[in-house]
Formats: sequence, structure tokens, C-alpha cells
Amino acid sequence: MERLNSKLYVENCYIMKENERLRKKAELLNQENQQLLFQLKQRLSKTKNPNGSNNDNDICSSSSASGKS
Amino acid sequence: MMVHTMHRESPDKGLDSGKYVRYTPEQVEALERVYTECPKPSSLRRHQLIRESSILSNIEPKQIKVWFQNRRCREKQRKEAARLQTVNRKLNAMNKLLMEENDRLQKQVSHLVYDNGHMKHQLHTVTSSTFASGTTTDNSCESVVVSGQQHQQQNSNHPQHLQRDANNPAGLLSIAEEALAEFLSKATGTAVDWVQMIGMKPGPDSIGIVSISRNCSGIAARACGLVSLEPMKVAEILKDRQSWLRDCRCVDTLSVIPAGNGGTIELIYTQMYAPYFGMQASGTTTDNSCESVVVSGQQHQQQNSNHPQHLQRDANNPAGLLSIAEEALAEFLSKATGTAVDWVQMIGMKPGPDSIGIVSISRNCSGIAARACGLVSLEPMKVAEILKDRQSWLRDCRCVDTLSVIPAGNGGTIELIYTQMYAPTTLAAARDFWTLRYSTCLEDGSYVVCERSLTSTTGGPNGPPSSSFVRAEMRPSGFLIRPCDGGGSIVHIVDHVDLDAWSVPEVMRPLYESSKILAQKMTVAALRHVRQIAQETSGEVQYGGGRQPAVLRTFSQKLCRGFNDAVNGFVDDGWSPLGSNDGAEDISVMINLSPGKFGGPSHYGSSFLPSFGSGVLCAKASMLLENVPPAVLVRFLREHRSEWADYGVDGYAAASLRASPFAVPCARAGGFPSNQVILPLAQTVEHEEFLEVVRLEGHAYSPEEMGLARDMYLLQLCSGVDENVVGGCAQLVFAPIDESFADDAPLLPSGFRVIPLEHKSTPNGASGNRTLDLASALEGSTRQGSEAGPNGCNFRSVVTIAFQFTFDNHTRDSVASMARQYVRSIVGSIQRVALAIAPRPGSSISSISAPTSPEALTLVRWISRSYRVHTGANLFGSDSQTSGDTLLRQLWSHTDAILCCSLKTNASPVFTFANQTGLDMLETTLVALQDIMLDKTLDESGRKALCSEFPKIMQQGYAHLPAGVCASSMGRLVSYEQATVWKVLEDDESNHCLAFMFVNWSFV
Repeated sequence: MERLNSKLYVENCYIMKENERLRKKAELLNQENQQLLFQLKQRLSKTKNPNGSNNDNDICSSSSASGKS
Repeated sequence: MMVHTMHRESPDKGLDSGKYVRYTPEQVEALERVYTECPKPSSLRRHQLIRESSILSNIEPKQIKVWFQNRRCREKQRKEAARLQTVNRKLNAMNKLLMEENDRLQKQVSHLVYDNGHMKHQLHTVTSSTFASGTTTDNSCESVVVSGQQHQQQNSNHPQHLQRDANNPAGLLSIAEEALAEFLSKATGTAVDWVQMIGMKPGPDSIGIVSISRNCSGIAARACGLVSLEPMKVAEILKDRQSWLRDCRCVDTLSVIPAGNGGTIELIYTQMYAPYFGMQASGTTTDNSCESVVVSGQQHQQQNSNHPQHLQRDANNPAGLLSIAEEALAEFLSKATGTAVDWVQMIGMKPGPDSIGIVSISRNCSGIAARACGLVSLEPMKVAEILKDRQSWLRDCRCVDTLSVIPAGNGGTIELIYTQMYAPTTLAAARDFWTLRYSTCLEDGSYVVCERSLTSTTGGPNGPPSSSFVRAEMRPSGFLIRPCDGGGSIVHIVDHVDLDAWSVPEVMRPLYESSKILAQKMTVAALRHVRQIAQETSGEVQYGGGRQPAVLRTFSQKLCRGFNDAVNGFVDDGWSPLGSNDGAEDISVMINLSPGKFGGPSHYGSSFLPSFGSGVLCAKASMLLENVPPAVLVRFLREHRSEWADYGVDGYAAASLRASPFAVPCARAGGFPSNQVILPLAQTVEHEEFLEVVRLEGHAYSPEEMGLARDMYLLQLCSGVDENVVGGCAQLVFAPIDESFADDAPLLPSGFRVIPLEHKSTPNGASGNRTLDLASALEGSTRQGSEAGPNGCNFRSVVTIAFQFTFDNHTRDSVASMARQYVRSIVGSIQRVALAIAPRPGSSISSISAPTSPEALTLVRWISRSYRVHTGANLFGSDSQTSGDTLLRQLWSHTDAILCCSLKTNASPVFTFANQTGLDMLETTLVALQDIMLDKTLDESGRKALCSEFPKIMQQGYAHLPAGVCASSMGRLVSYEQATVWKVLEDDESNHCLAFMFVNWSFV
């Protein structure tokens, strides 16, 4: 029983760490998604009235930014 | 498990030697009876037993001894097994909870990853072909697999569709034919850019061919496979979407129209569960549809949009209230087990079996929220009963009135509740809540109690008017109690409130905006209380003083309540302000001429106060402190009562318990320090609260009262002194009590409460308002405050002090002025103490830098000047410096240990200051130094030497002590070659303290 308990304890520790990791990951992904969504919206509105000339630059910088996060 | 013993019977008993002794049931019973009285009887008792009991007379004394040994051993094993069992159960429950959370998080992450990929892809598509953006969205054809987002769109489009075409079968048929064509072109054609899904198996066990879309508007998937059923049967099964699609909540066929060509057209309304919270966030901004572990059958979020009108119409009848209740329930559940609030785990959580559970607080949500989840070994209904009695566990709750009870029809109950909450300090008004509480059972056997405010937006009857309260709002909150395998319950508690922070003074606002404080004061307090009762019920808690836990808890509650009543001074309790004579408004004094009304409309209210003279008077004040950890301050106030208390005032307070008249003393804090002895009575399971008796050792403080000197007793409650608890408030409340310690003893509490005010340091994602607020809050603070770093070194706390005294009509004014003076002197003491214990910048880090306060500079000047005056030599050799800063640095880095200790005739000397080497020698810090007594540091011969030299020190100003040994605070022995002791004089030549210099010391 004692062994089982310590096993459970270690497992709980592990899951807690894992959960923490997942939470962080979710947070990062969420941020990235927000960013992407924003870019997507911007891109769509720009393509609708094609005045923006620096499209390609924007995409390069944004995709590299998202890659970092 | 039972260990039988070898027993060599004596031959005359006629038994074979070397056999196990078998005890008859009667013998065992007799032994057990003795065991319950005394598990470890002496040999005398054992012999007596054999002599006196006829059943045991044929057993040898040695055997009896062995029997008891075995019995104790068995008991120990059983206890150990039970303990392990309990631990195991807790760990298992924790494990289950963590796994559930893990599951949710994994789903969330995978969805995010998917969305992420999808959006990156979209972004790429939009840029590579500018055409794509032209042909956006609407593809209202029903495909085999419906995504959540598509479903959303349909949902919003549906009503119009139905209205426009429902009366026109031909119109519907044309839509149907069009859909058919498009579907077929996808199913067997290339209308969608299909890509085969990876991981498909080619063998006979393969499910079929699965493809997914690439670059299409929306998302699509198709599958094709062989099944051994007739086509009509397959269609029947697939049409029953609910039978196979887990996310499908309902499919309602609203009308069936024969299509004329043998086909059938149906208008279908389908609801899909949201797989995770982020999914709908893009479509609708509400936080409703998140996944929760428990989904009640009745609740439904989608109806939310229709709700307001619905409620406004009939919120005053039971049906309207029920719909508010159901809505609150759904919202509560999505917070309790889901992610409707952006939860962040609170730091300091333990994974082990002793952990209170999982505590989370909200981040960036409107209002503040906290939730806790843990295991308790009580049945769900019992837990609900305890938690519903909010006053029993929430110390800040003044009263809870249930104004009406309405059966909800489905077995549940709706109550309308008016709650009053004490203000924590004198600087803000108290809060009240007007709420609807809904208690019901869920389908899975859980019991749930949820509560929310009734406001103008929800509708419903108006609550009682409140004059001296600010109406706060409770967002859907409550508790969910799930029965747990193997007994006990898993309790989820959510508190989500809006305390109307804008109505309090700016400096106090952080207190009303801190989800951490909410978590500590309410959410965790609730869980702790339930666990406490569970442990008491199971007999795991040992209590001192022979008192029942419930009695001790009542004492704690009475102390807290009395202190809260004093701090708040409600008019309906009978309090009225008393103007001050000396014009100063720093201390407010209130009197209560009808103290019998105390306690308000509550069953915790006490009817004890009529025994208190003709009235009660309360002097109170609040002050702000910087950089003082609440726990440290309160611990200091508790351990060093003589630093702030006045024996005469204590005596007056104690005398009010007796009938005998007692002269009103004039307050002189610290004038006559008394020795205190703290006798612990009880503490909560997690040691966050102590109930104790303080014995103040009696000594006559004026010649004429020599005969009256007697010990006094205070019943004292100390909480929040655990420094490991982050952001908690600390409190020290005490009341004089007579020697009888009767259960219903009258208590008139006084004391201190220290509440940390943390700055909101993360305004990211917040509105401009909050940033403005932060900026203006910083503007008001000192420069030091505005430099508050992330290390949390700079912070403020608010200290509230309230002292209560009884008075008779003719003594009112003198008691008032005494109380006012006393509290003023205590404010001064606290300021002094705060200065001493505030961590200096850097001092909390391992490499200690010299203190730089003006007090330290002055002290160092006095130390070195006194040394020079007495010995004629210079402390720092020939290089004589008089400028403060250099002097301080020289003393601080002096190679010998230089220490100062207090110089009081009637209290044992404690250290007040030490230089770096001194701290090293005592193995302590500047803060902890002040708890170290000189007596404990010097050894026997050192103490003797000091005693014999003491007159010389007083006369000549200094003396040398021979080489000796002393002990560090850790108990390590330190040898020194010589110790010099000198008297430190203040500028006016009065004695300040004693200074010690230990020369050439080293650890032994």
C-alpha cells in the first residue's frame, strides 16, 4: 500500500507538471491564434480593397514572429 | 496479523510445553477491557490483574505482558493500515481530478493546434491566391461531418431560412436538389480538394478511405467504406445522428415534407455541444459554452440570448425565478469544472495527500473569482449542509437571512437570500448581497448549490434596502458536491463576485480587486472548514483543555465576530460616534449603550453583553504600512506583547469581568511590561489559526494595589501567521476572560488585523481605465513604492486596530480619553515595530547589505560614541570617522561580532541589532534576531560573568568578560577570546541598550 501510495503521489506530481506544461502551451497557442486571426482579418480586409502594397513584407514578419512563439 | 506467543507452561498445569497459548473468549474480553483503560499496564498492575481476575489466574505474568505487547502492536498496525487507506483514497481522488483536468487541457491544446494550423494555412492561401478571399464562407449544404463553426453559422441563419421557405415546398425542393448535386460532387468527385488522411491502414481491417479537405472554405472530411448491412438500415442508423455523434446534443425534425419524387425533405434543427471554450469565442463573445465535467440535462446555453426578455417578463413568479436559477446553475458548472473563467492555478499547491486540493484564481475576468476543489470524508448532503451555513465558516459574514423558499418543482429548492458582510477595515463600507440560491441534485448523483445576485438585468424581486452597505454582486457561484468512490465527496467551490471596487478609497481598491484574497478568505476557508469538521468527526483531531472542538470553534467565532462588530460599528447594533475632546481625528471612538443588541440578526449573535457595565466603548484606527509582511508583524505583536501593551489597561479590561470597580488607568504603553505565557488551546488542521490562552503574570503596578496583583487571562485568536501563505491577511484578536473559562464566557474582543494590499501589476489586456487607475495609484505612493519590482519587495498593508472597553455612566469620558490615548500609543508602537521588521532592500537576499534607515545610523553613532566615551579607545582603530554613512559601513563590516540588546530591568534582554559578523555568529537575520534572547545565547559561566560585572558596567560604562562559549540561534557552539560589554548612551546620556563585542569568535 505504501508503495502504491508513493507511486500515486509521484504520478500526481507528474500530472500536475504535465498540466502546468499544457496550460502554458495552451496559453501560447491561444496568443498565437489571436495573432493569426488578427492577421487573417487584416489580410482579408486588405485584399478586399487592394491598396496595401507592402503585403508580402507583413506576412514574412508575422509568420516568423508566430514561429518564435 | 496476530502474533501468538510461545509459552512454556509449567508441568503442574498439565499442558505440553512449547505450545501457543490460546486465550478463551472470556479471557480476551477481560484483557481487552483492561486494554481500553490502559494500553500499557505496569507490571504491578499486571500482577494485580492475575490476582484479582479469576479468569486470568492461570496465565503467567509474562504471558500477560506479551499479550499487551502484541495488542499494542496490532493496534499500531491497524492504525497504520487505516492511515495508509485514507492517504490512498485521497491520492486516488486527487489523481482522478488531475486526470480530468489533464484530459480537458489536452483537448484544448489539440484544438488550438488544429486551429493554429488551419489559420496559418488560411493566411497562406489568402496571400497566394487573392481570388480565394472573394469566395468566402457560406456553404450551407449539410455534409456528413458538421464542424462546430459550421453549425454556428447554420444556427444563426436558420430562422430566416425557415420563415422564408417553409410555406413553399417547391422552393425547398430546389434547395434540396441543389444540395444533393453539390454533395454528390464532393462524395465521389473533386468538388473539394481532398487529401487522403495519414495513418490509414491498407489491410482488411481498415475502416475505409478517409480524406480531408485542403484549401476549401470551411472544413470537410469524407469517408468511404464497406459495411455488412442493407442500405436502408445504414441510412436509418446514420440519420439518427445522436446515436453516433457524441457532440450532438439534439436533433429536432421540425417538419417533414414529401418531395413528390418519392423523396423526403425534412427541416432539422440540430444542437452541438461546444468541444472547448475557445471554439465559440470567435462567434459569440459569451463565456457560456465550455466543456465541463458535469453537464446537467436541463441547462442550455444557447437559450441565453433569449433569456433577458423572458426574465423581465415573469421574474417575479416561480417559473421566472427557476429560469434564472437554471441559468445560474449552468454558468456555475461551467466555471466549477470548466474554463468559463480564465483560471490560473494558485501558487503553493501541494500534490500530496495532505493537500487541501486544487485552488485556482481568475485572471482578467470581470469581477474576481476563485475556485477550489478537494476531497472531504463526509457525505455530500452533510457537506452541503455545512457549506450552506455560511456564517459558520465565513468569518466576514455578518448575517444571512433567507427571505423566501420556493420549491423548484424538479426536487430542487430556490431561496431568496439577503447577506451582510463585514468591512475588513474602518476605511471602507460593508458589503451586502441580494441573491437567489438554487439547490438541486444532478442526474449523476451530485448535489449542487448555486447562487447569484438578483439585479435589474436578471430581474426578480428587489432585495431589502441597505443604508450602511454597498450592494455587491455575486456572479453565478456555488458548490458542486460529487460523491466519491469509497465514501466521502469531491467538493468544487466557486466564488465569483464583483465587490464594487470603485466605491472604496483608491488605496484600498487592490483589496477588492484581488482574486487571491477572495480565494483565501472565502473559497479556501470554506473547504478548510469542511475538512476541519470532517477530521473532527473522524476523531483525527486532538484538542487540548478537554474542550469539545465545537466549543473552541465557537470561541474563535465569537472573538472574530466581536472584533468585526467593533471595526464596523453598525448603527443597528447600537453604535454611535463619540466626538473627541482633544480635536484629533486620528482615532475614532464609538460607544454602544445597548450592547445587548450586539450581534445583529444572527443566531451567532451573543446575548452575553448585558453583563458589561452600562455600555461598551470602542476606539479604533487604521493605518498604512509599507513593506511589512502581515504575518511577521502579527507574529511580533503576539510574541512581544510587552512592546505595545499596557499592563494597567489590560488590568482595567480584565476587571470589567468582575463586579468590583476599578480605577481607570492612564495609558502608558510599554510603561509596565508584563510577562506573558501563551498556552495553546486549539489550532486548525492546517495550522493557519490558533486559539490560545494568554496568561499575563500579575504584578502590582502601584504600591497601593500591591495586594491586588493577580494573573490575568486573555483568550486569543491568531491567524495568518504562516508566511508561506501568499497574500493572506493576518489577525490577532483577544478578549479578557476570567479563570472559569466558561463555555459561554462573555467576550469583548480587541485586536489587530493586517491586510496586504497588492498592486495590480499586470495591466496587460486590461482596459485603459485600469492602467489609469494603476498610474494614479502609484502617483499617490512614495517613490519607493513606485519602484516596486517584480520581487514583491515593495508593498503596502493596512492595519486596523480596535480596542473595546466597558464603562459606567460616570466614567465614560475618562474611559474614552484613556482608550483614545492607548490606541494612539499602540499606533506609535506599531510604527516602531514596522520600521524594525520591514525588510530592507536586499536584506531578503542571501548577501545582506547594511541597513540604511536613519534609526540604524543613529544607533551606530551612539554605539561608537559610547565605546569611545567609556573605554577611551576608538571602536574602529585610529581612523576615527564621524559621518554617518561611513561609520555605519565600518561597524557593519567590523570583523568582530557587535550586538546590541535591550536593557530592561523586568524583561529578559533580547537582541535588537547586530552587524554582519554578529548575524553570522548567531546564524540569524536582522528580522529574526529580535526573537533571540541574550540568556539563551550565553552559557552558564558567561551569564555568571555578566551578572558579576553588571554593576561595573552600569557604573564605569563597560567591562571585559573572559573567554567563553556561547550558542548560535541554531544551537551551534561559538567560542570567543574576549567579550566587551558597554552601555550605549543616547544623545541625552540616557541608557539606550547594551552593546557586546565578541572578539575572535569561531564555531566550535
